[in-house]
Amino acid sequence: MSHMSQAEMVATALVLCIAVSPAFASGGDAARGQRLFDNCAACHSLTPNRNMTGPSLAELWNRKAGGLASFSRYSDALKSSNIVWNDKTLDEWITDPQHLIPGNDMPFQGIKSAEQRADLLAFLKEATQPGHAPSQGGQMGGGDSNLKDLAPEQRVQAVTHCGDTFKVTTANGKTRDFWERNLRLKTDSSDDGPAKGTPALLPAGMMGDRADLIFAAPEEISGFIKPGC
Amino acid sequence: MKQRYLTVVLAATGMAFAIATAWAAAPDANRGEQVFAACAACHSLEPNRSMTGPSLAGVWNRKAGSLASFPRYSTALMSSGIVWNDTSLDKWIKNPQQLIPGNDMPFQGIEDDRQRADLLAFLKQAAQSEHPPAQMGGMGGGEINLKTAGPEHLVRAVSYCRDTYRVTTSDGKTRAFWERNLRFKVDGSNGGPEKGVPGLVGAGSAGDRADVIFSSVEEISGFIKNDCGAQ
Repeated sequence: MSHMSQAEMVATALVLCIAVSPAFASGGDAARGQRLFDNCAACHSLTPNRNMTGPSLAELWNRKAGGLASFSRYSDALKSSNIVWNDKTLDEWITDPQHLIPGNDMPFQGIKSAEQRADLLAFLKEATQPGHAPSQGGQMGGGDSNLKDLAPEQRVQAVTHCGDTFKVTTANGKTRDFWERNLRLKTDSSDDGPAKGTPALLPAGMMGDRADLIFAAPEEISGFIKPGC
Repeated sequence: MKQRYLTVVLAATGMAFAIATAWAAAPDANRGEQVFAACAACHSLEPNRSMTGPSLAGVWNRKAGSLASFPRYSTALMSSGIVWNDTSLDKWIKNPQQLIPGNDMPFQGIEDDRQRADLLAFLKQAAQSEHPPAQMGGMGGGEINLKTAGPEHLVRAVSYCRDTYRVTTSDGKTRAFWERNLRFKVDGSNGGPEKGVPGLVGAGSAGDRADVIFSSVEEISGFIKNDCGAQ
């Protein structure tokens, strides 16, 4: 010890601090966890019954796996697992979903870091309490805006199909051409979906040459699009 | 003697350097083919196989905006009066918006003279060839011929209940999709599906998204059955 310079002692103290900090983190840091949740938010909402690719996570704790009545796309594996979600089962689930419930449909590899899992669960436990859902950034699947409240360039008035081309006319008076394979016809029957008879045109990446055309229901599609050149 | 030897060595070195430089500068169609990969997302080399952009087969000496089988040219391109040749194509791929302001091609251009020369060397060969090089599928699809695809791609039924589509394929499997993850499309080309047998094609994102491709718009609404019975 007597050989240590002051600088060495400071360095040793720093190393000790760093060594101790993971022990603190095992309680989980909700702020860090919120950033990790960005990966989950592409498929999971925290708003009650707002289901996307996966079920809403609102009020998840103590729910039976596969038990959210408003979500209709659970795998048989999940529904028959008899697992109830709590600190322990959720930690096992996000460590390696296929290990906990083989054959389930969630396409997620899992998180190996115990510290990251603790952070994520600290955030989730808080955010899934009734009335605690933070406002979420746009999800990948869309639904980030209400399609009943459209800007003129999104409000579709007419679509024609001729050869391999769709011509889409919007309320701002513009008509745009799309190669048929670049226009994706979709539906959104949720509260955020478009009004009946007024589909929405949303750009879908690739420099504006692709787009989603979103209808209120599938029975509208063929009637709305008129054949004609 | 020693001085003359040095002169010879210097001259030889200079020549070798000049030859190497000329080699490096010569347009290389193989390198150009690699550059073309960026174009192939939107442009085919097969005659009249147009995708997001027109087919480039036979583009040399063609009037800009004039391929009869391509119906999506901008007015800017059609009224440009340009004929495609070595000079105009080089200007075009250097900066499309400068050559023809207001055209619709969403491409920034290639600043590098050598890359443009390589690309044009490849294109000139490929665009004139009777047998264009086999292309990896354009990104817009066309990778799978839906008339000859396997049973896992052939859609027998689509049911719809609340926010979920259930797609049953000829291999007997039924898959559930959140409605916003399922895209209905139309492909009336030769590579498109048979009438009444839409194709199911994966669309990235870990298999939770997909395209169901119909042979015509008129089929779509009738094919999808409102049915909550199976759920």
